Amino acid sequence: MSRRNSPLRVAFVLVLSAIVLSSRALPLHADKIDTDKVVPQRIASLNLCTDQLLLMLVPRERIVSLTDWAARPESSYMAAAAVGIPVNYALAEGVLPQQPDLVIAGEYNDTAMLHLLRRLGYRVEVVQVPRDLAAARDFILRFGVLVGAAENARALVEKMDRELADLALQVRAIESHSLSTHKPLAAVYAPNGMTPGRHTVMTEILSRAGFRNLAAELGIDGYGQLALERLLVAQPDVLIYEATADAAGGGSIAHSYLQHPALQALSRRAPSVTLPPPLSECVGPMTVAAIARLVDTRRQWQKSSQHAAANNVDVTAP
Amino acid sequence: MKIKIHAISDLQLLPSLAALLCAVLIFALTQGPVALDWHAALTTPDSLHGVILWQVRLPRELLAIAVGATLGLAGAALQGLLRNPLAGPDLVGVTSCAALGAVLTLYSGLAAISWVSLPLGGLIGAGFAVAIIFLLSGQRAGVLTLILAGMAINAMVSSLIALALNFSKNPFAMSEIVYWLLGSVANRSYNDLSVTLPFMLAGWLLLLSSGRFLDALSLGEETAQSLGFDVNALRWRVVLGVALSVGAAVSVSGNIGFVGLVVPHLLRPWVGYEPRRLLAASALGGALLLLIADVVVISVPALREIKIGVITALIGGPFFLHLIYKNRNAFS
Repeated sequence: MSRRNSPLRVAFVLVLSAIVLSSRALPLHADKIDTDKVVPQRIASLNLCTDQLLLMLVPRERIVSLTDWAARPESSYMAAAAVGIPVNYALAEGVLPQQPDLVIAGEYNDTAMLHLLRRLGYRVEVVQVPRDLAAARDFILRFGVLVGAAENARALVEKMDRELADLALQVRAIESHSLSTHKPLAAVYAPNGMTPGRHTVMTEILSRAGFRNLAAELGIDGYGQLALERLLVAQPDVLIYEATADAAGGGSIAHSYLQHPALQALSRRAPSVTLPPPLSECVGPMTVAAIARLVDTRRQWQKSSQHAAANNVDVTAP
Repeated sequence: MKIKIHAISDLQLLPSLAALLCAVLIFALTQGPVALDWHAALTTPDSLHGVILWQVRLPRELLAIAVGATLGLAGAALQGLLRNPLAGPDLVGVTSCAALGAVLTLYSGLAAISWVSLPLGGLIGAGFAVAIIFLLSGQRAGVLTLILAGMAINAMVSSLIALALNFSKNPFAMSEIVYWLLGSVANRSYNDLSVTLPFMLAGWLLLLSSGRFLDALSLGEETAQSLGFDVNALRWRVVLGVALSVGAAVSVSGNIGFVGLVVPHLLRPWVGYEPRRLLAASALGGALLLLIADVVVISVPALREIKIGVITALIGGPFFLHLIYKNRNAFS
């Protein structure tokens, strides 16, 4: 009889012990070691955006590991600089071998893993990566303090400010030469028919380069899917492909969206430009590079539309 | 078992199915996120609305029709060949193997080298699966063996598809497992149609010309033999026909389930339970079912496109359960 009861008893003891153990579990935020005054010498990054900023601000001897995305040209603006730095795949096992004195994570990293790293006594800082240029300015300055490169961060922000002011002047000059006040409409198309709408850095990039964003005007918030039909009907002035130019290493259904004959016919009529994802995935100096590229497109559109206007009076007629 | 026969002649059945298909096609062309200016679309194909009608909507629906016809026809042919009412191309693992073949060619970059490699990958995968099923059933395997073998193949091949996508260098590959397991005809163009239609046509030809053989086979192998049919050669013709058509269809649409199972069942009473007559009727019926499913996909507003296989499975799943319930005595 007692034998028949024993599995039940064991189960009861197991449940009880689980309750006791969990009540004794360590708090989520283990006491932070106060290393703020010490300049971190062995920094690991678990987020593509912080990977790139780290490469811009800190000498590579002080970076012990980055995510596997950092060295890939199809995703990283700083790919060349990241080559040769150990890769952590954003996993605890990838972080541990180098014994970092500072681990930088984004808000979307696996919290269970960050918890584990903290329990093991590592200093983990979770940062919120910026989504627009104003936030990026502050972020870079604070990040500089965090990684012990405040001076470099200030220089980087000043350089961005100078370049942005120069680009704004260029756009104003282009627009002042324009015959009409029409602000050209840009449609951004990414694999799978995705398009960045309001509250994305792409809308800011476009607006600073003198374009309107079709997706934002259609009311798409964040990233959304845009039906090819709606894109065609909107008759955008320029078409921006947010994609790697070639499908190296195999195609995909997502990329086949960009090869639809109707879309290709449109891109023969309207000027089209390819903006590689590294320019719009994170916000910072790469954003300035993206704006510079689109200011060129804006200039070309101006020339071609005025050329068309000279040949065809109807185009400019209100 | 009581048998309902409300058979009508082919001259009545096929034109009515075709007429229905045309009506649904026209309705499907009116559906979409943009309200079409029909006058402009019909008179000037190069205009904006013309491009939307002729280059965006029509090729997609034509592909739905071709893929649906293939699945219906292949279902009818397999059910006739294996003399088994549960032998849909998806249940026995043919469509998932075709998807695996297409996945391997597409994500390895082979498909970029030559247009023919994508449907070729699909039909090699499909051929492999039909051959396995055919060899199994040749050993006088029952319904249960066939269904269980199909289950094993499907489970194995789905994992292999996931594995192949894992190793792809394309960052979008892994999320496309949904496409390959559930199917879609969204954003397809004439390129996809022209690449696969020759293979589908060849397969249809082989299957449609096997009607008399399937009729004879329904009376038993020996009878078919004594009636002068070269049973072995004709069986392989059906296998080849299924591999060609299903392989090509799946390589551009993914694995769309249940069409090949449901359609022959629905139409069987209408053709007087004759396997030969079931073929053409199932092709039209399959086209009709998939087109209707795509109309649902287009007209239901969703943030992300609904996969067409979701619709066919929601129709086909309960139907399949009903079929099992009805035949539960025969299976036990």
